[in-house]
Amino acid sequence: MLATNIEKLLKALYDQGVEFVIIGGAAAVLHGSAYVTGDLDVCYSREKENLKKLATALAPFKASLRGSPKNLPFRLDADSLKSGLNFTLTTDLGDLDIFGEVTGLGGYGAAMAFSEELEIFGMRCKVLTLEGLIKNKRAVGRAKDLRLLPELEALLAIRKSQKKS
Amino acid sequence: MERSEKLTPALKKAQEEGIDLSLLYERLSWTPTERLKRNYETAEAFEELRKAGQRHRAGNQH
Repeated sequence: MLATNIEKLLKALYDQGVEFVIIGGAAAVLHGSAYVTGDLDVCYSREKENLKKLATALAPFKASLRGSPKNLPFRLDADSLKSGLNFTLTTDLGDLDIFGEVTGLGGYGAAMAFSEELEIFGMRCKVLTLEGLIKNKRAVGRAKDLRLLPELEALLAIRKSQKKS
Repeated sequence: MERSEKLTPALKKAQEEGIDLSLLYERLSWTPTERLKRNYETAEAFEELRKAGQRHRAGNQH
């Protein structure tokens, strides 16, 4: 994803009032990780109204299922979102993964409970906390997730030491 | 470095595990927006390098 596109994508979600929490690599980066990610992962509310808002926000960017055959019919709307849970999408702006649940935490409510607001491109966006990310990465347990743990724990330790001083 | 004198046990452990704390302190000096922008700029550069490598390998096969 181009650096300019991440702003457009977040703005589309924000302007439409989509309820979402930034998770995954982008959340780690926002907390200061040196990890590099090329996509955006978000956890979204499964409330009916939010599914409509999410579909409306993504409509201009021609979202399709990443890696699926080009002739496979797919239309991102509230009904298709309702019938699934986690979607790996490719859009005109770049790759976007949307999750109804975060492994190790639970649904959107749980992600919200483990979120904090950060100002990104002038928008107040919910971002999974370091504690939430650590729980998630431990639960997912793939090599690439476990490799990130020492850095996330170091960032948490820095934050704690800064709060004390 | 002044910071190393203030290392907590958790940070000492992180350093022993190979975490470059200077990289983290540098990123923490940036705003969240800067962290995100620079990440995607880096990802973009990596992608360009990957494509250049692919083109190079494809060229060598002909």
